[in-house]
Formats: sequence, C-alpha cells, structure tokens
Amino acid sequence: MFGLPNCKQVTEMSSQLVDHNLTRSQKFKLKLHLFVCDSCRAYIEKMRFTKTTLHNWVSGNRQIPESLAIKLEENFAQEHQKK
Amino acid sequence: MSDPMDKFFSDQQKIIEQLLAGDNQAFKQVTRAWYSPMYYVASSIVGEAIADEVIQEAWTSVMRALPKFEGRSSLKSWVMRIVANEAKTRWRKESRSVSLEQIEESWSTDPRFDGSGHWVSRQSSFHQDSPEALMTAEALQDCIRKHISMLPSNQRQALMLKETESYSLDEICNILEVSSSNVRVLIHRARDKILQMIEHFEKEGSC
Ligand SMILES: [Zn+2]
Repeated sequence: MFGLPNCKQVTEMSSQLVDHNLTRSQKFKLKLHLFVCDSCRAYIEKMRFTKTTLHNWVSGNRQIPESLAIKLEENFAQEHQKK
Repeated sequence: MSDPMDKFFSDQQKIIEQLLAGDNQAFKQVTRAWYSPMYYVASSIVGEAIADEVIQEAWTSVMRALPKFEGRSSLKSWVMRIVANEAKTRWRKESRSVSLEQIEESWSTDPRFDGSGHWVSRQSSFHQDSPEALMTAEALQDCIRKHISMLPSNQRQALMLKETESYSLDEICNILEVSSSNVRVLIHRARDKILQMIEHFEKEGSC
C-alpha cells in the first residue's frame, strides 16, 4: 500500500538500516512502517542487538595461541636484525 | 561500539614508530589485540586449519611494507586488508579455481511470514538487556560458534568481514568477488540466522 514495505521486506532492509546504508526515502518508508508495527520494531531491536553481539564476538572472542605469539615475536625480532 | 584497545591505539603514529624501531612490546600488543578479527577473516576464507599460518604471513608482509605505509586508512584497517589479501591468495593456491560465490539457497518461503508478508506471530524483544549480559552464558557462546560454522561459506565470509568493521562494503565485494547487492543479502541472511538462533536459545534455554 502506497509503496510501503511489508513486514518481510522490513526485515530484509533491517541490516542495512542498522549499518546506515539505506537511502533517505527507503529509511522514511521503513520508519513509517515501524510507527505502526510493534513486531517489526521488536525485530529491528533484535537485529541491532545481534549485530553488536557479532561485532563483539569477532573482535574479542578469540585469543592468540601462545605458540603463534612466540613465532610472531621471533619473526619480528629476526626481521629487525636484518636491517 | 568501541574496541577496548581503541584508546591505546589512538596514537597511531607512535605505534608505527615503535614497530619500525623494533619495539617488541608494541608488536606484542598489536598482534594480541587484533588477533581475533584477523583470525575470523582468515578462517572464513581459507578455513580454520591454516588461518594462523595466513596470519603469520600477513604480519611478515605488514612489517615489510610498514615503512611505506602512508596512513590513508587506519593502521588496523590496513593490516586487516593485508590479512584478507593473504587469505585470498592462499585460498586461490589451495583450491581448484572454484568461485567464492556459491549457488544461492532458496529463500522464497520463510515460515515466519504469511502470504502477504506479514508476521504470522507477534514478535517480542530479547529478554537480555545487553549483548554483553547475553555473552556471559557460556552455552550461548558455544551455540553462536556452532551456528557461525554452520552458515553457508559465502554468508560466513561476508558476515565475518563485515562485523570486523574494518572494511567498506566495496572492499568486501572486491575480496569476495560478489556484487554489492549480493553482499548485502549475504550479510543479512547470516545475521538473521544468528538472530533466530538467539531467539531459540532464549526460549528453550539450549542450543
Ligand atoms: Zn511489520
């Protein structure tokens, strides 16, 4: 109706919304939908939450294995001696 | 969303000088702080088994190229670009010219929506108030790990690259050799699956 996205289309646009990649007019239409739709508002909130969770995961979940850390430092020292 | 190490690395020029001077402590700090995103990028492209080797090669390249680093991007973005390139080169050598772009899975029927694209059942928010609180549950961490590994590889690659927040969409397209509309779809589908996994976990208390 009036070119407004339905719920399924809103969910498909949600990643771009949280990444700030929508055009002004896309964002406007999406916001109009959110104004009247609790379910999509909840979904968008969950999408934001998921994005942050994944970002935190990727940036800090994994610790460097000690063996690799040692190898890297050895290489670093060697590279430096060459100069 | 700030990296805990962002403050430490705010004085980028100083770090670069320390690295060029052979400061072992500075090197230790950057390699540790950036290991996680480097690992997820490398492993999503070449697989877990050789991800660490790729990271090692990437740091060698970084140290050799550092004197020529022009500072047009942040040091971290530059390092992240080098690890993605190393991974891609390695991936090309190892695999027999299969494109990174794979056949699309079908997405037309999503049981969450009715025929006119409306939610079948009412959606509610997550119970946890913050992603940080959520991540204290170890079982959930295992579940996320499992679900990330179950994603189709092109979705996993796009998601991992995106969530490092080190690459622009254009860069992700170049690395993965997919169009920008496809990369958006891949990122969204991957996130949507993890979102549904968290929903399920909250409801059932198990993975
Ligand atoms: Zn809706």
